[in-house]
Amino acid sequence: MKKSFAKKNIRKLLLILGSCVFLAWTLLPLIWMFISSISSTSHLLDMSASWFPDEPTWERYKDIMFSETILNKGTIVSSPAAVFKRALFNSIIVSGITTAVSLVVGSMAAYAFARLAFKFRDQLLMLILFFQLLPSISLLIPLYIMFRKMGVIDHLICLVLVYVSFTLTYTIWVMSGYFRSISRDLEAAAMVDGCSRFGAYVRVIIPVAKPGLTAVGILAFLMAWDEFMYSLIFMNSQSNKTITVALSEFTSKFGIDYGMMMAAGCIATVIPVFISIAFQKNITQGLTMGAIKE
Amino acid sequence: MKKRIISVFLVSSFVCGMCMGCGGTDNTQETEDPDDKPDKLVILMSSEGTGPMENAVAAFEEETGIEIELLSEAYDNMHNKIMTMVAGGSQLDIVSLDTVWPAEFANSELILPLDDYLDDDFGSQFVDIAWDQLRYDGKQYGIPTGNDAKWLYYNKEILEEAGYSEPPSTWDELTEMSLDMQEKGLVKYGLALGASQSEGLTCDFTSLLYGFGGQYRENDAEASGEWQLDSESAVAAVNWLKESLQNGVLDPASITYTDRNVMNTFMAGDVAFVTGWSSYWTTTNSEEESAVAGKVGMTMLPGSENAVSGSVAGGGGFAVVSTTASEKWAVEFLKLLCDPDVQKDFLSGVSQMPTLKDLYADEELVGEFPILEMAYPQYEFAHFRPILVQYQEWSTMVQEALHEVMANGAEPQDVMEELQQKVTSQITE
Amino acid sequence: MKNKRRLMTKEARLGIFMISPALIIIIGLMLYPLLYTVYLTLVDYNVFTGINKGFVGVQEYVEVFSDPKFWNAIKVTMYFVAGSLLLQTIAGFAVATFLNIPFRGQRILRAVMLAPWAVPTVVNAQLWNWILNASYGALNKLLLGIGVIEDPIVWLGDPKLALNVIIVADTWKMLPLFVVMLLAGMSSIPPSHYEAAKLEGASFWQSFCKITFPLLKPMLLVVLIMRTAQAIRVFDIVYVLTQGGPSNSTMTISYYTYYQTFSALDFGYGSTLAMVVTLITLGIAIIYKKLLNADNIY
Repeated sequence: MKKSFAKKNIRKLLLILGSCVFLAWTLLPLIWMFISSISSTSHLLDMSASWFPDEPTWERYKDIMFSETILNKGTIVSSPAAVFKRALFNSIIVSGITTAVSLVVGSMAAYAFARLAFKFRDQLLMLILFFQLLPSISLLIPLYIMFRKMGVIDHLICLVLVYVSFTLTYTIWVMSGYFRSISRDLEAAAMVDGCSRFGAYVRVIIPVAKPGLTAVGILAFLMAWDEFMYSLIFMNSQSNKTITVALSEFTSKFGIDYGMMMAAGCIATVIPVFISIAFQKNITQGLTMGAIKE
Repeated sequence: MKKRIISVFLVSSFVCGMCMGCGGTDNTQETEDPDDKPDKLVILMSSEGTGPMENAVAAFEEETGIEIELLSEAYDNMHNKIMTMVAGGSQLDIVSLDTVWPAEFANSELILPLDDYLDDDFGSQFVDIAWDQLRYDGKQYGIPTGNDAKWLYYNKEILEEAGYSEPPSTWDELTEMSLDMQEKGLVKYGLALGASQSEGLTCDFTSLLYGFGGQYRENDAEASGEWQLDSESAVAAVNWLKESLQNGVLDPASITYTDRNVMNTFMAGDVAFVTGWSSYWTTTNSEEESAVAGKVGMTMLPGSENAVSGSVAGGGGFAVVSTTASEKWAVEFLKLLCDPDVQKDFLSGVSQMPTLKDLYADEELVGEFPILEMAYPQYEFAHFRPILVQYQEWSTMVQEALHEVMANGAEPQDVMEELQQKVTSQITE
Repeated sequence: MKNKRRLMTKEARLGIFMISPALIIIIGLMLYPLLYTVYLTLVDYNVFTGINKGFVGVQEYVEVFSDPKFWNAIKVTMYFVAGSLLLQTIAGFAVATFLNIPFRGQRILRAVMLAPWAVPTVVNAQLWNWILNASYGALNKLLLGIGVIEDPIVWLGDPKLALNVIIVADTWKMLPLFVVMLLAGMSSIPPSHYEAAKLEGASFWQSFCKITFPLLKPMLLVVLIMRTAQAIRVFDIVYVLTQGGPSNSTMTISYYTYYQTFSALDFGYGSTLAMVVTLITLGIAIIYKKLLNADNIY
């Protein structure tokens, strides 16, 4: 009895120690990012200065949130901070739609790949993998020409299309693995109850696969959130830029506005984290007993 | 089975690719009369200049009735954006042109020569280096709007404390002063350079090379003749770099700095000297950003017994894209950018140094912007980086060679001899 | 037998119906560009003027393979891929296992853990550039402050050190990806497996090797392939931190490709490099499959 008590304590200690190391590793750079965003550059350059600024400046955040955005024939000619605010909106739209589409379309395809038998199934899966491995830079010009002919250059829709095509692949791969781990009895039971195969997929399989879908959703959202090259090339006007491109504009010919970049970076980091907290419940939500293949 | 599918797929895609070889192109040239007024001109420029550009755009629109669509991207992304837009067949009429792009762009027929639209003495109103550096192969490819070079910035306060009233005029003097100030405990290092493996290093090397009395080619003025990268002066310049790293004059972290963030080390007050572009003046003197605001001096880069000073030319301008349907009107817009008022806008708005000679003599303007007076003498000693189609390749070779010395401690003589050979055999212009 | 076949056709129809939207998007957006790229690698074609100087065949490929810089870039890239993936896989398993143990605060930790991944790459690169700066960087300030070092360390100035430092910066951002995916995988392992193992007296380590790892193999394979493809394309962080230096020690293949495609204006050569990179990634993907002995997965 005593022994197990000691063991329990050691386990607890190890857990606490592990959390501390892990928290330090994760948080210290983030804290530094935040400090950078509220300190003046001269304070950051001073090695003997205190870590936290004596007079934190919130100017940069005010700049981003409140600077006036002048819309002029689709071209905003105003500070990069104002462009960033607009870009934030664009990025949320693009990443959100990308995530939704790739989850719906991707999980459907993944289910088919995991459960249904049809011709060329494995070959198609390999083909999808192959496409995924192409470096984006090599598809850039042909895609540009294609979109120009379709007349969608400088429309957010072409970003959504490209991002979906990229994230879909991973959604399919991850989810088809996930669906395989779910017990077949589950849909069989649903079908006995009168569901069609597709109905069983929607009503029974999807709810059970929530943790997987959430993980893939985060993946898709962040891939779209962080994409730079396509966004740079396909979007022309200031009002259609996404955050990564807007962020790069804090680097000018003359220097890098590090403080602004960190302030914008903090905002760009917080949003996906909040979104994921909202969905966090789904990851931790345990699976119902018997849902999993044993 | 899977392997076979992949190979079949690959082969078939190769075959399809070959068939497409006969396909046409998307870049059909418009055959309209070039004098016809277009509805719209599209301009792509780097973001920092859009504010002042607005005025020019408004003036042009009012005068001609042609709509201007102003696109902007971060300076670092310009090159790619220009190329994909043109290659993808989008309308683009005017683009920013950096100093080292004309040869590369002209050779790929991406931009047009402007000589037909300009008077013979059009170029004479500009500072010589600004105008000449946008020439390639005897033709003018761009109109200069921003002038730049590198200067020596120094911390007046530290120099005074050490008992110096004047900045150094030769690199050896700079070494002496630095060692002295380090001994007195006034600074950590003497000088910081933006010497990471990038374009900034080539720029600083150009300054050093000419400062030590060397030159790139036998006939430098006409950009022809044998390369002279292993000349005595060139080796002396590299030797100075190596020695400065050994004796602590040069901040050892220099090989990690770019020509943009090296300014921070100077602003932190860690070094007494830094080489920098004209924009450093405004930034290092800003109370908000800099710990050395108000203590900054700006002067010509040092020289040696063989040369008064040596610096590198920068800046750039605008060019007309070859796929434009309205060459004439595009050039008209470029001419507008040579208007003194527009250049003043750029100076006051984004501290861009003017290219018009007269503005440097404009007393009222100089009174308002003392940097004009401080900057002007350096232009005479500023030199071009070689104007080459293979410029990037060349510049990379130079950067690699210098890093052999600075990061790996190789012998300057050997490295420069090897560089000379490599450049002679691989740069075929 | 007959009966079964008819059943399959119905199933196949549903299957085709369910995959077709995905397939249309993927093939529609990627097949044409891919063909065009392959075509560019085989001809001498000026993309600006549209002048086609004709078929040059595999000449570009020969050029790539005889380019010593290409081989240096491959070496550097492979080191980066191996280093960062090894680090991230091990740390990923450790953190995911840790976060899978129920304890108070687990949920908050899981949310916080995600944050580095959400930092945009451009910002991440600049952030680390400042942290690692030799003269005013936060890391040197911290280490000097607690007295671990006496002189500032030039983290990115040493050819032997620079690439390792980049690996650490990359790991900080990408570790959450491993953790999220592995956690999702773990959530599909039925608790009864562990209970059975516990009854048999298996240690924590034993049940990890016998249950967790084998069941996570499919997920691990996907993550590894995804991250390899990403790591081979590492660009921004190199661009901001070292520009390929010092002395080419961080010149990765994508930085080199990028530089060839855009800076050197050689689309043909750039595309050829891109194709070679694709094939290398494919090769690595096949190796993973063999190593993880996961032939039965897909």
